[in-house]
Amino acid sequence: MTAPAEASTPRIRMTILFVIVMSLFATLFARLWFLQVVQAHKSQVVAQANGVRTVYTPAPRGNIVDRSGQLLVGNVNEPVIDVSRQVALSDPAMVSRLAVVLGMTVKQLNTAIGNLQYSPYAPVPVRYNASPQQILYVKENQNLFPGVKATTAPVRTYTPMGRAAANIVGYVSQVTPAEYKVLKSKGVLPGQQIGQAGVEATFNSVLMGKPGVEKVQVDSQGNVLGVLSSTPPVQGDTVRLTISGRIQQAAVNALDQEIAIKRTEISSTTGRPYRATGGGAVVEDPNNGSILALATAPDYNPAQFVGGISQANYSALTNPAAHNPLLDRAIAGVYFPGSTFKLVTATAGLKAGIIGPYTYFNDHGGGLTVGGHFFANDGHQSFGLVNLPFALGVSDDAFFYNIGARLNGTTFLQKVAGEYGFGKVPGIQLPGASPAYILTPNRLLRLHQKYPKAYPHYHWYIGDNVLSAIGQDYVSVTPLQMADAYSTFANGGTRYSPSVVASETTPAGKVVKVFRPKVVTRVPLTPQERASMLKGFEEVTHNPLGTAYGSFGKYKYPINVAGKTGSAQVVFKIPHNSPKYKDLTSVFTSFAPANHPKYVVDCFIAQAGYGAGASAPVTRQIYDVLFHQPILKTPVSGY
Amino acid sequence: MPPGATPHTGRRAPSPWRHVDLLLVLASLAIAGFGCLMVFTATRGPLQVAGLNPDLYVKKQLIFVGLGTVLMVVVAAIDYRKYQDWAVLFYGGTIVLLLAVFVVGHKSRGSQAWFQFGHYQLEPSEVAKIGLIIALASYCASHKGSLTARSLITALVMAAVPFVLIYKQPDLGTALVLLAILGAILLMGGTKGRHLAVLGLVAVLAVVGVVELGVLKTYQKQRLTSFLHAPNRPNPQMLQTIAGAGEYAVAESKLAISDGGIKGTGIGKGSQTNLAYVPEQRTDFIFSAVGEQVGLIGSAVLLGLFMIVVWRTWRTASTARDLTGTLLCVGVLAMMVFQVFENVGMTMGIMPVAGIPLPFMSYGGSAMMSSFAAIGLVLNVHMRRVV
Repeated sequence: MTAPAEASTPRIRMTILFVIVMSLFATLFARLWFLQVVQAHKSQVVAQANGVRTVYTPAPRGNIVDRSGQLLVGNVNEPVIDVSRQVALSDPAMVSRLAVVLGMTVKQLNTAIGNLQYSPYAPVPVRYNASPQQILYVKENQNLFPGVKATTAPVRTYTPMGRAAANIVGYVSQVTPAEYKVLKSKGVLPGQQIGQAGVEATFNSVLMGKPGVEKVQVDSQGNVLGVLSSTPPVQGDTVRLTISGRIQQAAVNALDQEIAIKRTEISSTTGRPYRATGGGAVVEDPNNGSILALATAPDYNPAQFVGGISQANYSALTNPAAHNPLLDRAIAGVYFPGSTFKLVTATAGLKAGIIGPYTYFNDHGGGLTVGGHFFANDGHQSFGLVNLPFALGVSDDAFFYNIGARLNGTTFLQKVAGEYGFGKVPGIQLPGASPAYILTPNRLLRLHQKYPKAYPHYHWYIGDNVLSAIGQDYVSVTPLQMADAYSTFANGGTRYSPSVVASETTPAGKVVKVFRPKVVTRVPLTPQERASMLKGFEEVTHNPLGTAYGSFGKYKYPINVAGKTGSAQVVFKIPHNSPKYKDLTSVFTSFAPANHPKYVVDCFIAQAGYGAGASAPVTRQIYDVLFHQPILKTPVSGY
Repeated sequence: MPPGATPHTGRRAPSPWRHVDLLLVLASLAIAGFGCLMVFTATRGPLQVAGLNPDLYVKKQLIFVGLGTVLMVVVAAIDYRKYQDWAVLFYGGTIVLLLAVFVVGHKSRGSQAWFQFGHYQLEPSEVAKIGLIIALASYCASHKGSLTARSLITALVMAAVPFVLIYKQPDLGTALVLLAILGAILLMGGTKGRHLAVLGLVAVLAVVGVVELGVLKTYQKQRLTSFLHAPNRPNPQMLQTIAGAGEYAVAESKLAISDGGIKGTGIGKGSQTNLAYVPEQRTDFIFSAVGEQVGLIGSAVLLGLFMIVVWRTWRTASTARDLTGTLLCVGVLAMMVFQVFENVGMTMGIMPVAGIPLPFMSYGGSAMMSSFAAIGLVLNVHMRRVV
């Protein structure tokens, strides 16, 4: 009975079976060899990475300080409630309890917990600015709230000076998915707070700091099993502005007050109170282009954006009735300059030889007829024989119409405007600074071709150059450009790039970078030409006939302020009693002391009437502060 | 030889245990012991994270090994020729269990494949493998190694009934094991050459038909073919679809095995295994824990142990005293080889994903019992080859 099998079972089939079995095992060995010998090196790298996740902690943002080092924007630790995602997933009852404590619906809380902007390997912040009661409750009932932690997170805080400089410092908000795609390469993390306006935006990479990096070991379920390495976050560098917090506050207050007053004053033109929708004011150091104040009205409170702006607040900011508080009118408000543009026209007239420093022009008709059309002085007032200083002082339009008319057929007037910086983007470190526009016949034609509806007329008439000469029609400016232009004149002809940032320092105070004055171009004048114009600007405030005498000379103002008013017409051929009628833009631009200017101050207020009536008083108030409260000189600043 | 013909003398027959195949026993126990270690390494981490006893699974697995060893001894102790007499009972009982599971079985993850007894489950499909081996071996042996067309059809129907019942659970993997058992027993059980050729042709046509005519559900087809698409870098987002889940598992498993290299990462030091990146690692993908932690060397030793089991089984089949013994062993051999090849092949991405456990290694009581029972059958035949 030792036969291997009964006779009918052929041995050959057993052999076949054996061969099949062996080849199957051989296949397994071959595959094993391929995976563990051939591919091992590559796989080991992937397997290593498979179990390691990197968790980033955003760093506290750097501070923003004013030129004397006073804090404008800093950080404050805000109480935050964190939830572990793993625990929340496995314990829905805890989520329900927490929702009650936080005053949220379970759905809202689950949405917050599921926020994909946060790393799945770190606790998710579900409630910023938690109340002390909520924190206490969670802490005292930890058994009811496993995985819930009361902690703190740095958020932006604004000093009153920082609040007044909202348009300069800007605000931060959580990076949106669309922004993240762009900023990813710059080290921005999902969910991070990034600068959305002002210096917060332009210096975001400096202020952002270095995130903390933690390498954690995670299993396939995302459970964090341990920390492999950890680098703490490094706070961003401090940005020191050229802005003086004190002057900024003074400028904002003066502007706000004047606007409030104007809104109660009846306009003699319309018989209604002035609308005074908004305005901007600039204080610049003409000797280096550093900006001491950039006021805009209306403005906003940047603290509203901390932790995400509420829908109600955002609606209020974007409501047309609020006149766009998010617009920084100092750098992006585009206005007709009116007579303040006569700086350009005078320079062009002198250089073109149309006028001499003291040559006379006969303004006998209270205006000028050009090409069969009569261009009137304001109020049809006739001044007889006028020279340049007097024409500037009393703002005689005919004198300047004449220059505009004589320069027609050339673009010399516009070229000189460009040398003063008009029509160009000023090189300030703030987003959104407008170039405004200075049109020439060619530019007008191009605009017409590009936007035929907005620019139906493409023919350049001599009248266009005549009106441009007094800052109307085809010239427009921003308050910042105007300050740059008058700074150029005030310092003797050097145009600096305007700057709001003095330096970057580490949180410990080590200087990393200093911003030095940057010369853009020069607008030279002969001493006689300059003296003549300076005399004109002084006449404005000193001569009883000067347009701003009422704010300065009349009170024997101790500081020698030179300046120029502007009262720009913004609507044409609309009756004064129509609701569509808009009052003049009130403009005043100035420098002081006139002989050795330390400051250039200008102010624009829309729909507020004559320059002398609204903007000159604002600049006067700013000078009050500038000269009675000397500004600290700082050794760090390049200015 | 008919079972009734066993010679009985007045003298007490010498114990067949003298002829027990110790090598087979030791190889099986070695695999099972190693399996316990692997189950421990693959489950400790997740259990700890969940705040449970890290020994939970390995303790149960050790109990299964103990119970399995007892079952192996019991199965070996009773002369296999008795099983031939009880074959109808085994077969009938298997079918009853398979039917019952449709009625009172536990539903889980879309299939209804086991009975729940407290913390333990019984999977009747595992019982069916052994039941079918005994039934087919007995039936074919009773035809003395020469199957007529009619008896061949009977044998096919015998296999078809549990096949369909298990396929309907649905448990395609175990159903395929039954086919492997059927094929091997028919090959060795005296099927005529031309019948084998016809069956082979039918099998080929059936495979084509299944693929082309949509007998399989889309997800089953996707799952079966997913191993072809498994990437080298697993991405958890793949888990969102059924096919993707299969690809993901294969990708993580391949990565784990490959990570092991020649020497392995060391026990408890495999990042894939110990951080639980391979799904179903303690059950169907247990081989990935082996590949990663003990590398090519350890994997080769394990496969070598399986080869010893298969070789001893083949040898016993060749030396059995009767056709019943041969066919029992051939059935066990087919079951073991198919499961090892499919399971290990799956973890390495060369075979489809089908839920077949690795004998003695995968966590689970029913499979452990059926593996030990199968070895019990082989021991049974081996130790009675001369008695």
